[in-house]
Amino acid sequence: MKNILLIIVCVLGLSVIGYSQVSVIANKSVGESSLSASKVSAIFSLDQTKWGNGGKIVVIDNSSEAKSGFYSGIGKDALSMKKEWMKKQLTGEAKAPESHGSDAEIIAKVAATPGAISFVKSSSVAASVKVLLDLK
Amino acid sequence: MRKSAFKLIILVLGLISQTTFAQSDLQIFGFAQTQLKYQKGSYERFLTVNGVKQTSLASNYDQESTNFISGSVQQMNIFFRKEMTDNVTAWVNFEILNNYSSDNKWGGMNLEEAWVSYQYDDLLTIKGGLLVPRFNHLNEIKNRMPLIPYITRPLIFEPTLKNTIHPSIYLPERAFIQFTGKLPVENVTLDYALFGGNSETQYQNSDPTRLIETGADSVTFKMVGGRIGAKYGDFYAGVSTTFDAANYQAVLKENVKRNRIGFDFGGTVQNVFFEGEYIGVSLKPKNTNTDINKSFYYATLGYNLTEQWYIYGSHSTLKDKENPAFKNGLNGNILGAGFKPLPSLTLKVEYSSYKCNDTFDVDVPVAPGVSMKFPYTVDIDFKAVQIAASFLF
Repeated sequence: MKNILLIIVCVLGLSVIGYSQVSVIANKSVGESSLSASKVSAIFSLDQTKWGNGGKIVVIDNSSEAKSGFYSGIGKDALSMKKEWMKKQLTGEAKAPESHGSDAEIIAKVAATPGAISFVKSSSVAASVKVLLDLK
Repeated sequence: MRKSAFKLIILVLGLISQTTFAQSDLQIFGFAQTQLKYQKGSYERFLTVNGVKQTSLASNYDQESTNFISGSVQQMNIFFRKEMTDNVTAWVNFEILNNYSSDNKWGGMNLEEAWVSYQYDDLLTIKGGLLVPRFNHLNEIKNRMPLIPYITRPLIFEPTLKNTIHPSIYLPERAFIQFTGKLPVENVTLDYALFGGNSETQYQNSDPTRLIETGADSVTFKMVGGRIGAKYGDFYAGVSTTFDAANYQAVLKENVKRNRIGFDFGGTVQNVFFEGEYIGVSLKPKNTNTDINKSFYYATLGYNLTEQWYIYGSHSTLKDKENPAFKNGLNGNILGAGFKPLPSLTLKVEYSSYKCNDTFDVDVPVAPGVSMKFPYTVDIDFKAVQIAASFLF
């Protein structure tokens, strides 16, 4: 009985470890220290385009495996988000965010771009960027 | 001499490269939709006397039918966008329709938009110049083919039906100033738009022999309107209105006050997507009590089979009390599917039909000073099958 319980605890533990978290990261020049999921949703929908200090927000999309966890974490669907970007691009309202395919590229780009925001797997986060939100 | 010419070439090349550098943040992009269309249809109007269709008098009878297959570049738009500063953006949009050729007098080319915008913050952006105002949902994007699933659009949004239904009756097609803003509040984003522009297109002067310059609005009153909306996740809804006057000088000898009211909604649930709109056009003539109000609605329901494949169906109805043929409604139905092999390419296939069959009484002179009422029928029935490729460049 004890052994069975141990196995269940181990399996649950492994499943938690295996579940990859996603972190919303930003350039260190950004004044905000944390963001809510709804704020991140507004930013990625390009409905909020300025930081609290008036600086321009530069959204960078991540097309790696972190994508699905991120969009479900902020209550959006990746397909409808792309449609919103295309609508804003084709009506002249905004430029669609540039996209990169690896967490390392994203971190380098965010670290080098003032006002930039993106997301990566939590295990990839580096000291060159700041974390504004962890999505589970 | 050779040395001077060489220096001149270097100077010119230098200037060109400098100009190119200065324009490096100018974005030029666009899209096109090419199509192959098979259309079959007929239009017939006739008078019935004692149950017999009258076809002898041209004034009481007209018939036309079409049956063709044609390939064409249905639409192509070229956009120029430049962010002059973080807050100032310039935008120009040229639209080319139906295999445009000035040589063969085919199709048309329009300057659709040319505006500059200033964003004070997310709550206030001011746009000035030729622009498509935000009225309901589809008006602003009706001509952005990659954004919409359709090949033939719902009734009033379809330019090929322009001779039967002029969109400017139902929609503010142009404005010259627009204030917009967004306010995210928790999970909801509220938005507004206020716009103003020239009165309807029928007041725009295109006669070069007149004193007023061509393309200028020939009256002093203007169109004003706006929309307020809300977005929650993948759902949106809004209410729109405009106030202006319609040109009824030829019929009623007056400018008739017009108020358009619109409601729009849409969203995505799991893989199901939907959108719909209602537009009511209220016209208040002073010289007559005749009801000439109009209304239009459409509803579309679709399903994303995968990230690449989608299917949809749409129904639209237009009612026009001014036109006896459309009193009970002109109905449009669309069934279609799309496939996106690449993010910038969509292949579409669509079946569409437009139908109206109405019988109403008309006064027909039967003797000098004597007229009698006879039933008059208008029958419109068009069907089309189209395949199209919509691509961004």
